[in-house]
Amino acid sequence: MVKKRQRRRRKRKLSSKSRRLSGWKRKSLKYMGLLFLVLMVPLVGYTIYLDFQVRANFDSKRYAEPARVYARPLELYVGKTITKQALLYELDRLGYKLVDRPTRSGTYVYNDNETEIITRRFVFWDEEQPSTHLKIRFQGKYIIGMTDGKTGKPITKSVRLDPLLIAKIFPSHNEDRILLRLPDEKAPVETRRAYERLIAVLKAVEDRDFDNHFGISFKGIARAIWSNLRAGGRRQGGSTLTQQLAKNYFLKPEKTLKRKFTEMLMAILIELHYEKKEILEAYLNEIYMGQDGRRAIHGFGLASRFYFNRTIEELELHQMALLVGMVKAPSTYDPRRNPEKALYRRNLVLQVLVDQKVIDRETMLAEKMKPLGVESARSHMNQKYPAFVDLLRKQLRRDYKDEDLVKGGLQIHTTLDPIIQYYAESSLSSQIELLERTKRLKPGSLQGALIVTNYSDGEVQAIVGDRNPKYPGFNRVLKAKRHVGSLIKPAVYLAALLSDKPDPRTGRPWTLASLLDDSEYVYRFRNGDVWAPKNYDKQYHGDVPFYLSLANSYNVTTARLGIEIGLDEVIATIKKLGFRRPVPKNPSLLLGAIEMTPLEVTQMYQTIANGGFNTQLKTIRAIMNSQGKILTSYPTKIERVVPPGPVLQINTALQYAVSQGTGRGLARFIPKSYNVAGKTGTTDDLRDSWFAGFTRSYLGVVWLGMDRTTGRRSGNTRLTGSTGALRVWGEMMRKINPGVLKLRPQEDWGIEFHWINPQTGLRVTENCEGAVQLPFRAGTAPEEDTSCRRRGIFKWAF
Amino acid sequence: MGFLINHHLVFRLSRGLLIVGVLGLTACGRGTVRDTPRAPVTELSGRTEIAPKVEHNPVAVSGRKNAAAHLVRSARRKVSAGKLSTAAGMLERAKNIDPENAVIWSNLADIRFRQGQYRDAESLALRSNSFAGSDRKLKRYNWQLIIKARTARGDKEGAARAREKLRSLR
Repeated sequence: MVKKRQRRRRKRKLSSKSRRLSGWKRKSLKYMGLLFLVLMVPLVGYTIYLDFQVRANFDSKRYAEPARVYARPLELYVGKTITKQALLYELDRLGYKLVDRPTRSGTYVYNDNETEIITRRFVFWDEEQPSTHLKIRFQGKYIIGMTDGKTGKPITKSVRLDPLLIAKIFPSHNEDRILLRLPDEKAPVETRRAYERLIAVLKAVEDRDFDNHFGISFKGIARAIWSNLRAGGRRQGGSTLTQQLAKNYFLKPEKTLKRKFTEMLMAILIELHYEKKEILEAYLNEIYMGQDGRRAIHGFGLASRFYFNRTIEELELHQMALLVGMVKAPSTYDPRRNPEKALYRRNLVLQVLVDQKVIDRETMLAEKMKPLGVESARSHMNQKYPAFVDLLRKQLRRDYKDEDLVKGGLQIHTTLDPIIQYYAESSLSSQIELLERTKRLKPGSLQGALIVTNYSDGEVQAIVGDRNPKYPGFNRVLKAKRHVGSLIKPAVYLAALLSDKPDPRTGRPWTLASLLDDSEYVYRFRNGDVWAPKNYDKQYHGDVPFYLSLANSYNVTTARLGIEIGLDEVIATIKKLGFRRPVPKNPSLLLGAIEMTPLEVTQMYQTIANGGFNTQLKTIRAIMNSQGKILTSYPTKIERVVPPGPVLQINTALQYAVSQGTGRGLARFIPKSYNVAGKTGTTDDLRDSWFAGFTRSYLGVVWLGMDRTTGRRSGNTRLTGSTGALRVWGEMMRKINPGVLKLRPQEDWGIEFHWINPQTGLRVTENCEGAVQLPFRAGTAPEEDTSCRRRGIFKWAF
Repeated sequence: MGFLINHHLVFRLSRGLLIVGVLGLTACGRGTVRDTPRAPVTELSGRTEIAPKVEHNPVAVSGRKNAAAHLVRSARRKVSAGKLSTAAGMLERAKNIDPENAVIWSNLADIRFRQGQYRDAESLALRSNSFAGSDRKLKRYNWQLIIKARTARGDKEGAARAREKLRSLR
């Protein structure tokens, strides 16, 4: 009872005490709560803010990669026209290593008989090209045999080399990287192994508990403290890979406690949101690995390319060790600037790998013996194609906004052929220098521009916009608007062949054999002014057949013909061929008083070369996103604008221009049997020297001239189309390897071939002296000249 | 004494000569093993001779045909898998290898038609015909495609003209 009471009392006492306490507590709790709120709100807020930052950074930076611009990939197959020299040049450009015996992708060896290559794997827009071991045999200028280096079996399909990286389009902050993706089970064994190894090295050196910790590693911190105590200074940091990644997301490097705390908090948040594999991938892509001028090198993908010119798959163990070793202090251990420090660091890493049982002692010793193997910065930095990239950007702007181009690591696959580009650049530069010497022009005064396309699909293969091709200045291909001179004539003659107006002499449609009057001609304007065109040789040639008049580029006949069929028809034809700007309606137009850029000339000649199909010029084949999906493809766009028959007739005349006319000089470069078709162009006071011509596959347009043309006599190049631009064209095309041009009419084009006598323009028999065979549209063949045949028989009989 | 020294000198000289000779021979031996000194080709200089006409080499000609045919087969598989852009990409490659192959152009036309690009389909079919030569079957196929493309675009007149062309080919 007493006990009970006592207990009750105690209870009461307690409760009263508690009541007393709670009164105090309530107050303090209130304060504490307030304090807590005051403290926690910002902390929670800060955490939420950090969380937002972490996710924003992680997700956006994961894809912050400049757009990469690639040249066309080189296709290798039996029958491909390419010299061994050119293939070796391409391999060197791509950074393939010349070795004694190729064992890894990206290596090659060659001797007189055979070139052996292990190509790199590359994911193209249509399919993946696996790494292939090739043995290639050449005969003359083409590939005559291709076998599998492992099995020795012949390879009948085409194998693509990886494409040459020719430019990058950067986001504003100049962070450069080549995005890596950790390979999945589907990736080739070689790739998987390389990544596994790299990650093993990375973990061993930077974060041994990576797989187990939650962003912070107490073990790691303890180990760091222990090693620092032992060493008596700061030697090792306890940061996990996740913390380092978080640190990289800050722009300013600072070492404060607050910063350290933030880093830890971010690391935990990253671990909460993302899987280990994603974190590792982000780390490999994000970590800062050095500086190249304004360009910051981020991630292992680019570092591997930048220091060794290799892909991750191609790295040797000691190279991985160096890259991982560099993470700690990229500028201190920069192998180019501080090779000794870098070597020391690399070997330290190799030692750590042995301690961690990642590799065995023998491997370590062997790897330690190897030199750093760093590439000089040369090989991949001078691949500049300013004129091509200029045109590319112009075409890109039609479909993409500038800011979209730098967002997601786009891959832009272009049509540039580095080998053709090389030939184009060297031919232009060397011929310009030669011409300046022989014509005694002021050194450095002569300029030039040229463009080469594959006319069947309009792919631009090479562009040079300046005699100094690497100079990113005024791109004459796009910007130099110059008079085209006789380059316009094919349009005039084509207009005649298309015209309903007959030849007034015969009352029949115009043909290649129609005779044109080359005697003095005066055109009177309504206001009384006169225009009296003269031939370049200041002579008159009497009656000249249509095709030879074009081939010899006579001005008087052309002027008469153009006026006869009407300027409107000529203008319409120029537009049909693909010229988009207004055309001045003036008789002098007939002799080329119209300004065009080399690009516009090319567009026009594309249609002529491609049998009357207007073919849109293109620099892009496909654009892919960073996942390898096609975003935009650029298929061949053609449209028939002129019937094929008349175009075939014009092309025949253009072949005569090269074999007998103003383009005769081309025989110095390319034998006549290649049937090249082309046209020279020269303008007043020899200000512009042009040549436009095509072979079996390629169209080339070359312009030479001076930038300054104002003032009397200034801008005189002392060059005609045939003494100037033609030579550049000839030297270039001979190197590119022209195929034999064959004009093949189809039966439904209504084309018939007849032998004619060029003097009379009349039909004769084949064995008649001087007879030439020309294409005619059905029903337009000229009358028969019986006299010639009789004479022929007479001669033959007696 | 002098004689002795001379003798010694002669001995040393001949030994030296022997070593030099052996080294020289080894060097020569090395030189003959490798046919030409190898170095990466970093410039494409030197006078390039004109290529022999590839049309004259049957191995080269059939090699091209094979490489292109391989791509055409792959493209057909992609078409049946519904991957039209990929197929078109392969055909564009094939066309670069064998540009005057009428079948490749016709296949491209076919894909453009399937993609609803009727105008392009028509142009490509016409281009195919310009290479078709005596292949009447292919020409008929192309004209049928042109008729379909023009009809799909609402160009009745054009389709009628194409039908006439088709009739003339029978």
